[in-house]
Amino acid sequence: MELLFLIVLIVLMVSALLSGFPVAFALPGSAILAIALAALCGWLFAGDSGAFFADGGPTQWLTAGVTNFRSLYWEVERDTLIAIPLFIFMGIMLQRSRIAEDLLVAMAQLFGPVRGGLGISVVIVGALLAATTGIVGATVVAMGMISLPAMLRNGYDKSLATGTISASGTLGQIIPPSIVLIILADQLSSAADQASTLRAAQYRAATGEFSMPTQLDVISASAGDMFMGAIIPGMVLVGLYILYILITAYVRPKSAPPVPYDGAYNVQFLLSMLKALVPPLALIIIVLGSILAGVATVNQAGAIGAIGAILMGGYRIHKGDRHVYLPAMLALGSLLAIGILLSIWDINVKNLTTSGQAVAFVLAVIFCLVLAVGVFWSTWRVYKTDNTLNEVMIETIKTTSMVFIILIGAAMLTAAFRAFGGEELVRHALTSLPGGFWTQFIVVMLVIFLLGFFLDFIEIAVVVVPLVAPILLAAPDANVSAVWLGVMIGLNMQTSFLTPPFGFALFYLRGVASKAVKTLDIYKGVVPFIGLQLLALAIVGLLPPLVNYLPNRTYLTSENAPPPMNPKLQQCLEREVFDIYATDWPSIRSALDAANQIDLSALPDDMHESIQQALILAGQTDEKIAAVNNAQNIIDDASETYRPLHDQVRTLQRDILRLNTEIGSAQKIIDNSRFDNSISAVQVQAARRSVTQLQADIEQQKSAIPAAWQEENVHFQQLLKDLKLAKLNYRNHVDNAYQPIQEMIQLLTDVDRLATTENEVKALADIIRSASSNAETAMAQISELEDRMADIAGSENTVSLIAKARRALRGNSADISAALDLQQQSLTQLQQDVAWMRQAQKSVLPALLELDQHIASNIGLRLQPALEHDLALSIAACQSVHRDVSLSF
Amino acid sequence: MDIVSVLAQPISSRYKHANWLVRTLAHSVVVFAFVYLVNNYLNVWRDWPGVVGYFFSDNTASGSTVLAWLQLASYVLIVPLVLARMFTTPERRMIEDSDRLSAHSAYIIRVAFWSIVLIGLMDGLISWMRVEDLLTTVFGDNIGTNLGKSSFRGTWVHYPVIIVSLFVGYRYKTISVSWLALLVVFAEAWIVTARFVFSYEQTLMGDLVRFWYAGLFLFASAYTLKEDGHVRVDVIYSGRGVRYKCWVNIIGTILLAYPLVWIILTMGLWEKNSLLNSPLLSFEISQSSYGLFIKYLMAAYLVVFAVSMLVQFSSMLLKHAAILTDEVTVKDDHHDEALG
Repeated sequence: MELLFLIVLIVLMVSALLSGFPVAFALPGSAILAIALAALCGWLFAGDSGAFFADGGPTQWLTAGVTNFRSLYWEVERDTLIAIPLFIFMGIMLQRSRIAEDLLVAMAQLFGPVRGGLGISVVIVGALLAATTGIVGATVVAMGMISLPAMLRNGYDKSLATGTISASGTLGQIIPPSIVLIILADQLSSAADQASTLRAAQYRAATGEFSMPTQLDVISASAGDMFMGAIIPGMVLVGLYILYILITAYVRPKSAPPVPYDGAYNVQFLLSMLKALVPPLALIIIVLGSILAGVATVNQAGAIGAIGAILMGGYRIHKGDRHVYLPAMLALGSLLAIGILLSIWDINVKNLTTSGQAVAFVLAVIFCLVLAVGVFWSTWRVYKTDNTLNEVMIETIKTTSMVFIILIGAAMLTAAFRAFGGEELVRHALTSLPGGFWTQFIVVMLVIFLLGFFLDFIEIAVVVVPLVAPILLAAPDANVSAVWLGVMIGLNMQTSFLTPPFGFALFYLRGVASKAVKTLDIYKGVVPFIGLQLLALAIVGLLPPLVNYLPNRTYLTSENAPPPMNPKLQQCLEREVFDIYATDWPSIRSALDAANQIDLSALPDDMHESIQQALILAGQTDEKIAAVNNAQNIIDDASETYRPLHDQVRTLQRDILRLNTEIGSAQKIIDNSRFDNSISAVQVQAARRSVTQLQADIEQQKSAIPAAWQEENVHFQQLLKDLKLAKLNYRNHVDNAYQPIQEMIQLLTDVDRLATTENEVKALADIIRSASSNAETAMAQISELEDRMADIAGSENTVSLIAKARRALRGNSADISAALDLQQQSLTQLQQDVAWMRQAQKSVLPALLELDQHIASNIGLRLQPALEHDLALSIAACQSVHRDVSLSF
Repeated sequence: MDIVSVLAQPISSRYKHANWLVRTLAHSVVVFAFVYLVNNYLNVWRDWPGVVGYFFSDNTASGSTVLAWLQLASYVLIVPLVLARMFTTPERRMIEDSDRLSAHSAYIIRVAFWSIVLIGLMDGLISWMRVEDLLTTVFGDNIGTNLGKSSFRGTWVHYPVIIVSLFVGYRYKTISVSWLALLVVFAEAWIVTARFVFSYEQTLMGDLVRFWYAGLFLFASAYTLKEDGHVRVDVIYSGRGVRYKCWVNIIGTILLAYPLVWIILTMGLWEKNSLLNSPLLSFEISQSSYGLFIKYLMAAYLVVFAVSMLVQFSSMLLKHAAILTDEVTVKDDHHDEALG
């Protein structure tokens, strides 16, 4: 029955949307109507308003819907969305400051003389504007008014000209900062959570183990990741557009002739070029750069961009001619000054220790005030000039509200869709498709592409993505990253702006193009670009590193990169290290042999022994490597025969699961009929019949499972366990081998620091004597010394004696003489320690350091405090490839 | 659809019927919402029995009979009173009422805007003083400690500010929610400066941005609706004439928009542990107690959103009914000529 109401919901939604009532209210309104209808029918015909819901009742689902409304801004997790109004503000402000016009004129002069040059200039300006304003309508209108007449006047083919302009205008959708990407990131992060849960359940069902290893987990995406992931695909797209225009220009020279520039290439020309290009480029570099460098969050970058836009507006639209650039210069100058201050001092308000820092703090405050003057002055100008600020703010809130109220509306729709079991249905439909992930993926992409003809990106992103993304992300056979999926969907949705009859870009262009351009010219013009778009989609689809590499690289080279110990890195880390072993093992071996010759006699006995032990262990590493390689080879061989069987059985099992749920719902009818008079005998009969039929089907499916499956599965799981064990063995082994050596090096390098404490330990005697008058202060002073010494390697014995001395002072009867005695002991201990360490520093340390050079990047790699730059890059590259992990499930 | 002219004297009996019917509907819905809000306040904060609680639940003994009947009367009398008002003012044009409701909605939004701007600034200052341990130094032990409690701060700081905003919103009609766009930019820029220059980060700064940004898109919705800024799927809509558009907007308002608004109001309010009542009642604050104490106010955002939308939708209903009945004439601006 709930299926009927699911259909009612969809019919209501489609007709409400098509009627033209605002989307933001059509979506939740039809959801509420459908829920109300279901509740009413349930109450009338079944006596229970919740009867026709998959589970729960109407109030529960409506409350869930309203909770979804609130969750849009209630919790910190969705703060990414704050970036949207910031970027919209920035974009509209820049649009009002007419940088598009300046850029178009400058670029046309620069590229015009080349064949197809005007077209190329349009593409490049489109890309630059996409990285700043990102507003499709504004970009298309600006180019349609400035570039289109120029292109037509110079004999460009109408279709080529209009197609280039429409397509370049939509680049803002995919080139960051883009609103689509932020919304996708928001939707995908919850989808990734769901996918992760799905996969964990699958893993439990398949292996019987409770916790899933982290390397099998779904990789989530933040808005920053999405931005970084979209940069290279965006450039691929720009490259394809330019290539297409160039090829057309050379194949059919008449369609895109060169346009000579009449003026002279002089200083004047250079200046105007710089004036048009430098400010937007600087803004792009600051905004995207701060995200790429992993310094700022997307929200913070948005605020920087908005302030930058205000500064640019402050001089660009200013009408007077006095001090035109002064506010911007004030801001820029103080920013530079602050940058210099920060590069010299670390200004932490909470921790200003040196006088230099204090002075720097005061200076920084002054420069911040100057910066504020620059910003407020610019704000005042845009406020006063042509009412610009007001218009920008109003335009910002209108656009933001439009986007967000749709998000809210879709939240109610999602609740209703779940209430009628729609989610379950879509999941079944998708997962029962033959061919695994790629069929599912292509079907989803096709649906999104087709929806793009009628809906625009926000509706698709908020209605379709939450439904399908968890399933696609959970699929273990492709194991795609959320960033890649998001960028693919983003690229796909970009075409929705181009597809006739309802592409927005086409409308905007039609609105400003002259009558001489036929609507059909525009339609014809975009067709090749839609083709290019699909080509880009294919390229990015086949080469996932194009998307995944930049986010991975940024993460792994950033300050908060994980240490080499991190379990998520092990897969790729070992791949790298095992390559090193394969080639360098002999030289590592000889370095270890050389280390065996070191004279360790200067060390105390226990340390002497542990180093020797460590060296022996290190020498045996090759056995462990061989064990891992061996286990890996066995699995690789076994997979070849096991994989087809595994795929076959898992498909059968999915079918059985589905049949079982169908039995469940039929059984529910039979069970309910005992209390519920409205269920007729005919219905019960039909239900009974279908249960028998379904059970027969299940038996048939079960018998289709090959007899060998049980045994093969157990065998393969055992092989997987063996590999896991071999790897664990290897990891423990190298850690045990390297740790003593690492600690010894640390100890011996720290000797000088330890030695400097000798005077302080001596001075303890005076402090202890002063305890007769004031024990508390004395003890505080002693414990302060303990804390400082605790940081220094090799101080443990001395510190514990000092602590004993301190404890002797406790209580009413401070035992000063015992404390003094202990202090004397600690001094002796310290002197002894320092003595042998100094000895060992000469005889042992150089050889150990020499050894460390050979083994730090292989045997000792896991214990290094941070990833080395080169290694981080190769791991980033390794992690950017999607890996099939289906055999683990 | 821009209104070109208002008909001077459109008196047909068909028009008269439409006039009082639509005006009664639009006004009743609005008045009903306000009566509902007042009753919600009385039920939840003042422990009145409530209509449903007294008449439609099993434990009838609870609460005072007089109060319950009063509350019932407040609902029952709405339609007769509104009807009576409509009959005594038959000369009122629908378009005038539409403008009036629009102005009411704008006033609600202005009050909400001033409230969150002023509360954001004041609470930001207080919370910052709390983080830096200045409260007791400046205000003395008693008030200083009390300001660390959300119920005290809500009652003695936030509520007075809201009352002040009622006047400010009335007095200054030009400054409204759009300024939140600039404020959000500045607030986030402030975070950037503090973090990158002075290595200083506090929860309260992020809270302030979230406080204003949530207000930005929820409060701007009514204005966006007035300006027809909410995106439509115009596959069919753009090609049709004025009458089709009017009917879509009227039917959509009644069938899709009104239910949405009422679901927010009924699911969010209604009883003590409802979704929006319960944080409001307990002055809920976020987990980190060193942020702003404004989380409970953000629950009220949805109420403001719902009420402002309800009033704005009623205004839209009246406007399109006015067009349909030829009370006003409009210039249609569909895409036809653009498609050429």
